[in-house]
Amino acid sequence: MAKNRLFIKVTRESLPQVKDKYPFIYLERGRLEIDDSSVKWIDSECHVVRLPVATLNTLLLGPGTSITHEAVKTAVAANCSICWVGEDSLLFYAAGFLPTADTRNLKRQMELAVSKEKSLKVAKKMFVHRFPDTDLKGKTLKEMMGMEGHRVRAIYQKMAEKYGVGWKGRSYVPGKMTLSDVTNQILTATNAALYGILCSAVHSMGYSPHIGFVHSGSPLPFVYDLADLYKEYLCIDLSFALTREMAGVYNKHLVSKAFRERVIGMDLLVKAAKDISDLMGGKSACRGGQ
Amino acid sequence: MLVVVANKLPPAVRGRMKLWFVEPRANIFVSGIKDSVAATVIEYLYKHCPEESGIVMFQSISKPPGYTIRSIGATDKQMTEISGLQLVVEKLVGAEKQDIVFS
Repeated sequence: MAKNRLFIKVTRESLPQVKDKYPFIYLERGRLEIDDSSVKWIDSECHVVRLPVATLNTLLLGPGTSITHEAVKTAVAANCSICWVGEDSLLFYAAGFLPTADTRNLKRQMELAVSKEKSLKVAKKMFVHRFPDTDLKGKTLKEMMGMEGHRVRAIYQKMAEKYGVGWKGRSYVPGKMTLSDVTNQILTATNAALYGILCSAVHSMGYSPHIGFVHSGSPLPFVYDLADLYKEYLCIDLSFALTREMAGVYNKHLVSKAFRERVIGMDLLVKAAKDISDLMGGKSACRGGQ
Repeated sequence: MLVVVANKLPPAVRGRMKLWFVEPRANIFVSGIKDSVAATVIEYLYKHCPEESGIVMFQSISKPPGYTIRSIGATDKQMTEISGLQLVVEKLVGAEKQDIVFS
């Protein structure tokens, strides 16, 4: 069978860099399959839409989607990661690895992470983004995390005042999204989408989401480390702004649209690709790094 | 870059188009004009072309996904938008042919 197939190989050179990709598309209620070597999406009303997967960073698959074995293979070959997403938040991440991918970046990440000194240096670089005017010399990781905690609580308070929205603190109960207030619901959803985008960027640049420098123990520490760099504007500011706009009624389409506009507006993938390379020190070995 | 593909253009418009574009094939126009000029040209086309012209315009932009597609009049395929990305709806094999207009 396979011998008779006309097979055009996807090579690394033919794929766009992470920074040039479209950040994500969200699909629900339909089927992803392959036809003529390209990925097609068939929605619940039988519309067929071809997806240029090599130009997409992530496919977020919502409820009611099915995907064929071959479609996963093709997406992987085109370096497009796939995340399975629940009704309102991300449940599972998956990423494919190219047979041709190299592990040079992963090795560098591991080297930085196992050395206490180097690891603290990377963590400090991350905190410098958030505390540009503060002297972090001699501060331990714990102290910096404490500072960050205070800062985030202050940001919540500041945004609540800025947009005139009531705020009783961050609450997130897994699987019970609707029990929290609208601001918290938007925060949960946008955080999840941000994790998904960053997770696939990290994967496609050849790093691991599992080796973090500030966070540890959680499933995707490196992704949480990176997400903290962008959350203030992308998630927190947006959540309070939207709470006021939506007047108490959660609307996931509006949330998704506003989030996407901010992601594209701030060039998140360009920023993330540059920040990851900078944090890990120097030029990246894989595509996506500059 | 702006690429304009048309079924049939009014002769005056077609002549005027060549101020900005080269026409490597009949009714296919290619130009390297920048965004602000492209906006003016697109506005001009909307103003002076009837629906029968069947125009599709492809403009490259600096933000992802790097392109926008616009059209005037009926075309064969319908456009759709998923998560802000412009995509083309293809007919399902065996499905009834529909008259589809995209705006």
